[in-house]
Amino acid sequence: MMGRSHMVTGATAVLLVEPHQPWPVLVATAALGAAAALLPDLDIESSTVSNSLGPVTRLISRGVALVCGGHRGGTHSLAALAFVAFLVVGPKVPAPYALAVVIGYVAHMIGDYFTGNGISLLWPFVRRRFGLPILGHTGGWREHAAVGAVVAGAAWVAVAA
Amino acid sequence: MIANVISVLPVLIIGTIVVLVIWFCSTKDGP
Repeated sequence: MMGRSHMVTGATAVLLVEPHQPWPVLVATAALGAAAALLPDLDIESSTVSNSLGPVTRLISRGVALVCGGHRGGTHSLAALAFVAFLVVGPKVPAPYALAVVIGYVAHMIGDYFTGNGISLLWPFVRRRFGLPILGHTGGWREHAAVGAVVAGAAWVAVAA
Repeated sequence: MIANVISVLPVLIIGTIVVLVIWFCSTKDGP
């Protein structure tokens, strides 16, 4: 998925899971979820997050790609999700913000699971990729339609729940 | 139904703004 698709689905997921917050917290958690939804793509130099701080993040991106076995490798695994959760979930980070980071990360993994190449869900134990490629290639019309459907569906669920 | 909409109005408004800002302000290239 494209960076902005990840950001939209990440923010939407956060607002869907924790909607009953004061509005400044809603804005902050949505932004955090959108940012966290970009993190897994630190494993590819052309990504939005890898270019967010110029050469600094590009250098970090190379290191991450090396350690995690390239794009959609380790950063798109349950192990990486557990690592991120371990970093943010704790007494020092308020629960809504920690949860927003985890939700954003999960939203990214779910999004890429449905695109062409799948993700290395069980890295480093199993190298093969898992996926259900119903959204076609990255940035295609099916991806945009899915993002629209997710946003509309989330709004409907929020009202109907 | 209307009561439900009103109760989630803040999150609907903020969600709409966040989605529109992300969609139209972020770069289009790159994953």
